[in-house]
Amino acid sequence: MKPTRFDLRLNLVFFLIAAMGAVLMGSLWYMQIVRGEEYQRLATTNRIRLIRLSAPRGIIYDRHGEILADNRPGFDVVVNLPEVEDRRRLVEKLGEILDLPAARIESRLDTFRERPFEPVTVASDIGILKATILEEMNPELGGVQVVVNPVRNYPAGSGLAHLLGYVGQISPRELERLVEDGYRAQDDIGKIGVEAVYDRELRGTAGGEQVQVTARGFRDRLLSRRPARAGNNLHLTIDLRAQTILEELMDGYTGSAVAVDPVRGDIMAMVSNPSFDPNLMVRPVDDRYVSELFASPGSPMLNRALAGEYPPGSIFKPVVALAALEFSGITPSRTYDCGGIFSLGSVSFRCWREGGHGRIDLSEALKRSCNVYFYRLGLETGVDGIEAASRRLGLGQRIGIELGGERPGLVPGREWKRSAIGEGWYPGDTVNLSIGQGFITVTPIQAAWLAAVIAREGTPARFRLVSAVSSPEGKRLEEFDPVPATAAGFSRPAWAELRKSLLRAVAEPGGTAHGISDPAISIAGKTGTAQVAGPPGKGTHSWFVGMAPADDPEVVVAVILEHAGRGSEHAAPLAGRFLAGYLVP
Amino acid sequence: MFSFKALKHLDWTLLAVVLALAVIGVFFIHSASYQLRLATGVRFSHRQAVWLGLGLILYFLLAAVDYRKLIYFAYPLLGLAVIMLALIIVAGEARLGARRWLQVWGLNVQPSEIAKLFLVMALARYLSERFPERWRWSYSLVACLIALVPAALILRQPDLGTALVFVPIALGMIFLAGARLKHLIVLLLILLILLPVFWFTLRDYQRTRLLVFANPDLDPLGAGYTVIQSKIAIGSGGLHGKGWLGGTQNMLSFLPERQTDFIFSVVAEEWGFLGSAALLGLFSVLICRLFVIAHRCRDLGGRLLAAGGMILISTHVIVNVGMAMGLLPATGLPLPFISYGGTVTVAMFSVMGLCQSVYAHRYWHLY
Repeated sequence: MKPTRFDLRLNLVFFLIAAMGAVLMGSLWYMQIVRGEEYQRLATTNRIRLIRLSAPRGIIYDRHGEILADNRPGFDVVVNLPEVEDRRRLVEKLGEILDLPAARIESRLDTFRERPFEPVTVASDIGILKATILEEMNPELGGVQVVVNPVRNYPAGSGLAHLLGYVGQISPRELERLVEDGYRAQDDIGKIGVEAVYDRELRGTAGGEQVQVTARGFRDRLLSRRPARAGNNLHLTIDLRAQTILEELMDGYTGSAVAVDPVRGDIMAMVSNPSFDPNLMVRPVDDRYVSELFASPGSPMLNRALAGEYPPGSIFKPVVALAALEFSGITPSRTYDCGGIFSLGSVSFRCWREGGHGRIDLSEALKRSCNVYFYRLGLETGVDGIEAASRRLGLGQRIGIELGGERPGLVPGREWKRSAIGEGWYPGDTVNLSIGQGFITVTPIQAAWLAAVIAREGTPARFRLVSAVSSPEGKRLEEFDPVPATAAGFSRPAWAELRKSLLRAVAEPGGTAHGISDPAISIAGKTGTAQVAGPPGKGTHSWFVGMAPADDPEVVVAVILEHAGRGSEHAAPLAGRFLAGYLVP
Repeated sequence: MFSFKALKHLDWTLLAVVLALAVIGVFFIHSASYQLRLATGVRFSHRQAVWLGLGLILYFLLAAVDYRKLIYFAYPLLGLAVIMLALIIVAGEARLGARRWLQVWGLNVQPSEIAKLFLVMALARYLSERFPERWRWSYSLVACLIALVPAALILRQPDLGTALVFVPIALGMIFLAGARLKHLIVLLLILLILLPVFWFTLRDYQRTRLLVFANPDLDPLGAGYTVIQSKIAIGSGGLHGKGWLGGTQNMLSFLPERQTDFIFSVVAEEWGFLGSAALLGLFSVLICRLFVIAHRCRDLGGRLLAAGGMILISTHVIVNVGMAMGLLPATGLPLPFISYGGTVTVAMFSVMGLCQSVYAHRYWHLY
């Protein structure tokens, strides 16, 4: 049979491939057999090493360009084992200067036994004093080198620890997951907070040096160098001035405080107490600090602003008021009589004020935080309305802050109680819910969100933490614009009534927060005094959510002080001082 | 759609060679990633073994289906690959440097490897369906465009090496399909003219990468260094080699990228000329089998599939080995079945499955 054109062309292609294969085979023969010995000599005297240069992390700025996290030079002690003459003497001397037990140095030296040519980091960030001593002794101690590497530095210390997080050496498990993304052992990686969430922006690209070394591994000559490229910078919405004021006021309290610009959704300040010093986590000189932190009963590692779920107490009353106006046709002029006590069947619920508030309307009840008024209002509205309003106001779900670890809080309802507790919903549960007690919990960030929704009459911007990313040279790479949130709904008159009542609570005598009224600024807000289940003798949580200036709020704030007492006596004055300190120059 | 009866007509030599290569690959990935495993704890050879298994399953599934049905899906499949390649560019825009991976269900997938496989299928379908128009300009031109779209997207990543593989595949298959030589020569000229135009659409850092490709000395820490170390590794292997896990270039970490692009250097160092020549011998047997399958098949679609597979495998072997020996610029192409990589391993097994299907279904038109 005559070959077809396909066969002819296929033969041609095949012969082309075969010819190239023959060239490969020939070269292989030439390299391995003809010049094999020459290459073997090159291999045994191979003196070219690649050294990885770690990249400085990007800098984190506040909204005005103040530095929240940067890098400082840290001095690491590196040992090149092939150069060491007397290992025992070296370990002894190092232990003396660095104040480290010999066993620990030995175990560090053994870490990379499989790679005898790799320099071993024996101690990191030893401080300039010890570094100088070592440098002077270097000729005496062969094989020891002091290397300068960037170390993460948090100038603000413990204040922003939860928010910024910290970096640490990559763990074997993290490495397994990330090795294909270019992470290597001994790299730093963000562990929690902004450092963890934005690690890929911040970490930069490692560089390298091609170095010729002597027969004993000593660095002889730099052949070429590719500098490391620093990571991108982050610009946060945090305002360091606001943060510092809030931190100083919160000092000594256990709890949390959050301040937000409701127009742009910018989180300006976030405090969670007790806290920890992130600088001590970066290169833990003393492991005890870290283990004590994790075991501490005050949970300093917990970011209370996002993960602390507290009963809201009376700061929940505005939610009940909105539910009543929206779902049950109740008008603000509705009055109830408060005699100081309210009976439901055989159970009686008390108002916080003995003797009661008399016959009052909705605005007056919010201003004075009358419990009996809200018991009755809540019962008339019903749990379903309160639950629906709570969800529309963002409670019972995560706000969605890009930090990780946020908790959703809890909005109870008939269905929830049936599945979670296995019981029906009782009117007594509604009574408790009406003053923010019982099953309901909110986080401080949700409380701030509630304040922001009220401040913007249902349409605040979504909360955010990062406003821009810039290159190491300072060029803006990305700018994030404020994103409006889905409108919460509710009628304009309802919002107006609510804002008027919260202003009266501060501005008018008899208001629960009148103690913080200040002629220089108009503040509106709601106090809360939340009773806590648990061991008796523990005081109530002290809450305040507020905004200023009241007619067009620029700042909203939420404060909770655990077991501190009444909202009007602790949280409200603290928030008042913050707003005055920040807004009145 | 699957007919396992066809598996009775398998080309067992082809299967045996592919399996032998893949097993050798797992062993040398273990050797090449030995230090990296100590540093990171990741068992690359175990991962590769999983992909080998996955590839083998796909191999048999594809072999059991009539290739005529398989090529039928070629266009939507290539479309899918093109969408994934475009997604990479969109998702990778914010970051500096090249981005070749896409996250699919938590797995890192390299769409450019998938695109090679689907391109062979798509060209086999197009060129065989339009065969009666082979004397027309549009025949060669459209076939070229089918290859050009994914190639251009890959070039944008930028991954010049992978993009260039598309050229011999496309031109080779068009040539084999019987297009007029005049058309092919003109297409080749157009391609050469288009290259500088494309240059100006690139970003600065992408141009730097391409310049480094042309002249490794611009990047002595990357490609240039690697080539020097790779040549030392191959040459020092001598006749017998230094033994598995015994290569000093390998074990002392002189060779970068050694479990992926430069794995041939590890084989040559540890198994010497005898072993590395035997490895090239196995590849020769594989390519010969694909040649025979293309010859025996009596239908143009099947012929083009097998011949396309043959060109795909040989291009990879020639470029990869040539680059390890410093004969060709270091462009970063994997050595099929040997190099570490999930997508590439599964894709190469699939190509072999397609060719096996061509062989297994060769008698069917008689029934």
